[in-house]
Amino acid sequence: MGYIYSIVAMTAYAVLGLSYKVSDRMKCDQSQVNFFLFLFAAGIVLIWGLVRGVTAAPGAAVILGLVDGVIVFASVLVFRRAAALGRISTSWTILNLSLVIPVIASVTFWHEVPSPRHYAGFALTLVAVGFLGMDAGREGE
Amino acid sequence: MTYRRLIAAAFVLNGMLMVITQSIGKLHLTAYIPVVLFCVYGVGCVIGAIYMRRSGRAVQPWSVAIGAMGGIGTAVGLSTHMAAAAMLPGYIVFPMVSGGTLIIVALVGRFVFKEHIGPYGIAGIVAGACAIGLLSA
Repeated sequence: MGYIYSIVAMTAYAVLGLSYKVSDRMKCDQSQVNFFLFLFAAGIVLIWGLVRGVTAAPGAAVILGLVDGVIVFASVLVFRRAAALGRISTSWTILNLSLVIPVIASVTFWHEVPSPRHYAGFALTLVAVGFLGMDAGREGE
Repeated sequence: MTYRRLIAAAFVLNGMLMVITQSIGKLHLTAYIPVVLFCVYGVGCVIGAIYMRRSGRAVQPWSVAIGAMGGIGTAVGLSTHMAAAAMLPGYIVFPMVSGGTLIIVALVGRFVFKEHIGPYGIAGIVAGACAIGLLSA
């Protein structure tokens, strides 16, 4: 079952990524697309919460959610404009490479020790960003 | 704003988002994830409604459909990702989901949207998928 969930997650995230490009190609009103994206997502997590019986939370969780919400909105807005100017294939890769930031944060703030895999991941992130930067430059983006 | 500046801003914002999400676990608030996510999307909904009202345009059916596509993608992706992470080891789930998504998006971009990806782009996507696999394991 875990593998089925993983495949569903992979497909669902890909649908999200591709929705940026589709909305640009269809010349949709971005403010409407953003609103309905958040509306549908809020509806689904509301059902999820009700099914799991989680309807209340401590203040810290609510504050984190509200701050996160502002950042998510800004991130969606900025990425949508970037995806309209560049390629979705390379833009989505760059966006996902931001995973390096929480890894750096866990080393800095929570004093976690990175494993050799993490160091290799850091090195490959630099290589990937370098290649993607050269590709963007070559295409004149 | 240029593409490079926009994608750099998206990179930093997405990273900040992951740091805050990570802190949910550190603060032992994992049990309240549905409420946290409802707040996240609820805020987006409110800001989105303000933006939409300011644009003053009539609602387009395609915008609703594509918004729904993205909304279902993010909410279903997140909930099934979490469910998978509870059943399988992280070193399987995270590289599989992150790497797999990158590959699907790159292939659809190349073959459906006819994006030209040069040799540097292909090398970057492959290196990126491997890097994400290593960092998330």
